Amino acid sequence: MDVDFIFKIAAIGIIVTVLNLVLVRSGREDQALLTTLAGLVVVLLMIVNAIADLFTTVKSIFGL
Amino acid sequence: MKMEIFKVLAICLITAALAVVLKQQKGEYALLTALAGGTVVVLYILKSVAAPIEYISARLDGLGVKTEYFAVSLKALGIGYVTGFIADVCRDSGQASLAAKAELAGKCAIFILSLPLITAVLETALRFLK
Repeated sequence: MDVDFIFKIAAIGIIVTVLNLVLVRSGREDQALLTTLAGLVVVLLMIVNAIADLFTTVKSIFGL
Repeated sequence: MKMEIFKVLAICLITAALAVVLKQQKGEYALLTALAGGTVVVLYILKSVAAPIEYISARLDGLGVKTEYFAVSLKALGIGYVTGFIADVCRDSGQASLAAKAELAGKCAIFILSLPLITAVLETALRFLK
């Protein structure tokens, strides 16, 4: 059971929030938006792998 | 394989706390964290339940019971679990109508899967009537 996976995603969320705050405060809204987007893409890629793993496990166990 | 229920419950609680913290700042990360936690927990549950299912189907095979019907019910169970998981994720993200559609798709898939069983029951009933 890889609990690190959950913590990783939560940590990425916190880091992106802080970066977003700093960039908005220093007047770089466009870069803040790009940072948010990049973080979202990274997290989505991680989760898509996990969900694919889940689906293959379900398929093999229940014989679908 | 033993199942550590308290570990699973702790993971659910920690994920919920993380999601609450993230929800105030960025709602999308709260959803993704909850999704990751759910995936990890369900993967763990499936891995611990795989061996008992294999055992039951092996025992049924040994007793001479027709395992094709057991396989169909197992498939329906799998479709139900996956559909419920995805529908819950949709509902958590506020898309209740999408969740309803996912559940409808799961119901239709199970219906199509169980059509051979329905025809078998009907054929048996007709044979008794003749």
